[in-house]
Amino acid sequence: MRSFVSRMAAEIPPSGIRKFFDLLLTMDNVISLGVGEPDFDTPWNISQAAISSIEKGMTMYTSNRGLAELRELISADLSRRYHTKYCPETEMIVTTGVSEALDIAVRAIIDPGDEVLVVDPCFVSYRAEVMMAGGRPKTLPCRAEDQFKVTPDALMESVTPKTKVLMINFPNNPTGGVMGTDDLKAIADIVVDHDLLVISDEVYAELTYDGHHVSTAAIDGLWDRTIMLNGFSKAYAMTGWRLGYICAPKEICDAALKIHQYVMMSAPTAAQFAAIEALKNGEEAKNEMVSEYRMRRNLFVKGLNDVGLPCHLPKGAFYAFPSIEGTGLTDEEFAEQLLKEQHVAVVPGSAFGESGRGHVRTCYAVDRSKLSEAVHRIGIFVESLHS
Amino acid sequence: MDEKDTVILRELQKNSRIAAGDIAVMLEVDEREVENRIAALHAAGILRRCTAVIDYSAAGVDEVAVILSLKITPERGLGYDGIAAQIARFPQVESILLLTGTYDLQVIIRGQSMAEVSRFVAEQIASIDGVRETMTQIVMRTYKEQGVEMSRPGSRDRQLITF
Repeated sequence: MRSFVSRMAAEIPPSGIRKFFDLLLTMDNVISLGVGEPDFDTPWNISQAAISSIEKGMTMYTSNRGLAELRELISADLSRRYHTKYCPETEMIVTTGVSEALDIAVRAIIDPGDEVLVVDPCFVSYRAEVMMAGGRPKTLPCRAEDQFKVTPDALMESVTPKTKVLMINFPNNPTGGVMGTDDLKAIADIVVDHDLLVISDEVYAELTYDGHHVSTAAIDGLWDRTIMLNGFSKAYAMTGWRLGYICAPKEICDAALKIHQYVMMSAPTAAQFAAIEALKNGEEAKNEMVSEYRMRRNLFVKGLNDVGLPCHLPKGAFYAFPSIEGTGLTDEEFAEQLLKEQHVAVVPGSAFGESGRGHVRTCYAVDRSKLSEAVHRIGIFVESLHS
Repeated sequence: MDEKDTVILRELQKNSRIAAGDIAVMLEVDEREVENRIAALHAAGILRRCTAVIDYSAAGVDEVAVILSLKITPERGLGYDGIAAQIARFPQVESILLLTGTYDLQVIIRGQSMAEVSRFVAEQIASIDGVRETMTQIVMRTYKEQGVEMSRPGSRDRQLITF
């Protein structure tokens, strides 16, 4: 029998750490810093809103774009935080997680052969998404000494006449790096000069600890060149609800909507009712979670530095991205040995791209007693390498 | 009281054994400052006591708690305060609240056995001048206390690695 698997599917590299994950499943007493989601339950009023919508029988499809009330609330929320003016009728689609938002954004704008500059290190889907759309992902390296920001120099070095799209994610998974107003302004001219479009995944926006998140769409000259992606997963501890949204100028949004209509119809209805409650009455719970993450970050990052893993204080998301180069191990070796010897799971930085090499991603969305136990175990492990 | 004091109080309320050094790292101040602030909160009578939440039923210890609702004849010049203060002296009394509605005071009492609590209520509380009526309800189960959900499992199934 011939192989029925498409060339595209066959050529996409599998996610990097399958072997590592299998090893993990055979062990117990593991403290996992390997997750990418909040450890909190969804605030109860939010869950209750979904339950109540189901009880009332509101279980039909919604409009393709999502519930009108939800879109209006999202638009108002964005306008309050970034002073952007997204029209809820024409410039926004509610999606099944940011994953779908990313997918329809990429497919709406990429033609076969188009070059896409992808921030590196980055969330594992970005490159695969570009490839599935027939595009060519190119690396835009971010370095520890720049706090993992996109610098104008790095951008100038990577951009070519074939580049069509710049794909960024700040606050960043896996580094926790952020881009402030000045950082974004510094690359805005290059984006305009090279006539680029920016896909800006801002799903960690609310998890910004020192100062406020700056949206790419709010930078002068970038609004009509930006597709902004965001969602409810991280800010409201709603990962399993699968709810995100895409905001873009009408022409792009119309194109993305066609794809969304064919592949998804509409985002899950109960989750949309939950999201309405999140935006109406979720602010306090969100702020409490954010302040808890911030305190854990301070404790955890100090702990990592104290046990000899140099780590910048990340300004966003819930990841610390320490350098493990001083240990003499590669990031894969470090992660594997740490798991085997001390039962602490971290993700090798190279799983997120070349620029992540020599680092490991550690998620501090873990309760404090486990975090300090993890620091203790990492300390024992690092110490054992020196003796 | 400023924002930092508020955070300190909230942290102590969540975990009274938290180290001052940890609060200091979280607040980005030095440890000495946290210790001074805690001392000042104590001295001002704001931070009354750092305590523990215990689920005696999990330990298999039999313990009885009752909620006693009282109707009180207020005293001239003192209102409810005199009687409330008198009741508060008993170590068996865990809390006393003044309420609107049918009953005036709600008193929570703990003891080793029903007999002990009954005797206490009859002999010490019901007999106080000014207590006109009592209603005693037995606590059957505690679901949540001081913000802690007692009957909820502590951990959930969670993916060990996600991106």
